[in-house]
Amino acid sequence: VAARVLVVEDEARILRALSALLRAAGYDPTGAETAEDALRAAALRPPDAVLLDLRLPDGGGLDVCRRLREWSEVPIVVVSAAGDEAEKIAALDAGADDYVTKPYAPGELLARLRAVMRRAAAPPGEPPLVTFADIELDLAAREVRRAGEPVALTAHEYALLAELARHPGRVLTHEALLRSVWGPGYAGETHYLRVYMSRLRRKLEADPARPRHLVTETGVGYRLRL
Amino acid sequence: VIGKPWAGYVAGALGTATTTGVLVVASGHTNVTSLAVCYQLVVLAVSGLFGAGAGLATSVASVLAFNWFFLPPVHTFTIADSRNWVALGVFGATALITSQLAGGFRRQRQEARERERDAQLLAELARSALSDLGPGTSESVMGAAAARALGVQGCAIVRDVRATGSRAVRLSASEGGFAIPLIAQGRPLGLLEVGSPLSGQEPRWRRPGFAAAVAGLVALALERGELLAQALQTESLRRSDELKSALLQGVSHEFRSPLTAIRTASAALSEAPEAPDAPALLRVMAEETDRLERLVANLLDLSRLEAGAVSVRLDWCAPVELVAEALEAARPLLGEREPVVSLTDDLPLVRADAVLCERILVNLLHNAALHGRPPISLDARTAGGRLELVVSDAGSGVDPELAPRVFDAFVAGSNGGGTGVGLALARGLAEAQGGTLRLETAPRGARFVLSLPLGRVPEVA
Repeated sequence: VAARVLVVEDEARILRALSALLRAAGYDPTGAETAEDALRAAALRPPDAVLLDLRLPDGGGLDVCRRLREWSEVPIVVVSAAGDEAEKIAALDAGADDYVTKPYAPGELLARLRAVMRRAAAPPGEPPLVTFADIELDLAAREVRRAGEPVALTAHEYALLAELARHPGRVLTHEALLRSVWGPGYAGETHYLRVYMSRLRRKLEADPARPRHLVTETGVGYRLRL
Repeated sequence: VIGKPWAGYVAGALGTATTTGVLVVASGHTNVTSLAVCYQLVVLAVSGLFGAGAGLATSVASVLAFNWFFLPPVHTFTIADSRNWVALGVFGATALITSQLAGGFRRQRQEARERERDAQLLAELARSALSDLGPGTSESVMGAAAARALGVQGCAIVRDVRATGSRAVRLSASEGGFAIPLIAQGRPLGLLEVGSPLSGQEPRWRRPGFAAAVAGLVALALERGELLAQALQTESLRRSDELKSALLQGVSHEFRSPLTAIRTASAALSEAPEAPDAPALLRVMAEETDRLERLVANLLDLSRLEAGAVSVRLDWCAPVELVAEALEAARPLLGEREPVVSLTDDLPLVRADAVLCERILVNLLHNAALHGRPPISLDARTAGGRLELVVSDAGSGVDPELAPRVFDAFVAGSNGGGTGVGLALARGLAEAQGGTLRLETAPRGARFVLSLPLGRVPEVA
């Protein structure tokens, strides 16, 4: 059965093109043009994923995001205007799983959608073992190995890595990371993240200058790409 | 002690007493009347050092002392010998004249010193009015400079005279504070309110004409600030006008060519959807759409920049991350031309807007891919308290004639996918976050340098 994708987009022409694109990629798209439509459609026929434009005529897409999250764990990818990082951060805070920037490349959009749906299908709970490249992270034993050899991490380095690994593939905002690793008093101290990410990359990335797994999301946060 | 008003009188008394003492001891050996000359020395010294008043008092004291101690009968103020009357008269007159002359000389010297100080203070004020006070310099800065010159606790510049409200403003000089009208070229500009004098100091506005000179300078500075602000506004209007006309000329071409390509390709496809070159036509449509998209994004950003509507969020950024993200974002634009990156990972954090930096670097990389020749390289270095990110290529470089205008919109024109606004936008974005973007002369190819100020990175535990 094709996975159902609820597409919330107020421009009829974009909606039509997007639906065609999703159908071609093997999904079963449903369209909604307003926030109200979207919430009703999601309630009547719960989708497997939501593609949500944040700029809707009746009330913000952010609100749709928040209200969907009240009762549903459905993966949400928001479509945000270029250059508005604050909007992206707000959407992630409101429960969105990922974002693409408008105008998006179709391939990029499909890749993001696939990724969030794969994550949603993963068994719930903390994964005992997270692996990427030659790195093995054992969350239960609090151990990190690189090519089988243990890697020595400081407490904060480990906490940062573990926080990212608990949400593999997800963008975690600067503020969220600072709060959970250093505490609420550090929410604005972005330089801590910069310094610690650089130390982590030196220990874990093949080329710390071109990180492939500990990825920067410019102006928003970081993500662990598996 | 020398500055105190009573010091002269004390010195006069001491001098007279000492001279008298010395003369009493020495008087046995000499003609008494000739001793009077010694008193003249005291009078001269006191009037020269302390002014005519103290000199006059010293003259009187010496005449009396001379009479009392030396003119027979001694220890009375009576004089027996009439010749001694003449001597005393001449002595008194000489002392008087000496004291007045020396006092007058001293006054003149003092006046000259004061004038020199006036001139010096006014010059200082003029200098700060010319250098520190540009457009938008706060009037409080100017007020402080005027207060320094006038030797008062503070000065306030009131531009809107109605702002003084019902408060009475005294226009005649007074220790309790007063105001001087500020007038430049006959146009009233406001009031200079002068506060009370610094404690224990003679306020300088007592000097004749000094306060008026200060007010004149302040008025000139205010007027100059207004003119500069006007000039800046005119300049930015002119630039925005220039930009608009450049946009109109450039935009029509830049928009038309991809639109034409897309329309032609789509018409061809709807005529013959199954034609063998359909995939190629679709590719043209996708590429031209990308180009339009970049053009629109750059134009929007450029006009936002011109309108001052770009929000700059400065935060600590890692140069390595800025570069990695820019390379990631530029990858679709660069195709096979993978840039050569040489970065050391000990570069300090820089305070910048990561999103804007990424836009700048992507534009520079795209520019290098379009107009230069591979290998494109991206380096970072620190130099003179700045972080410099350098994008260079190995092409033929920027035409020297074009170089001065390379950052103007639509100057370079575009060949194959350029939008003509990328560099203008990149420079604007660099400046919006306190950085600079410049074209450097390189032995080969073009070399663009994004330079960002390094701040003091807070400690990380």
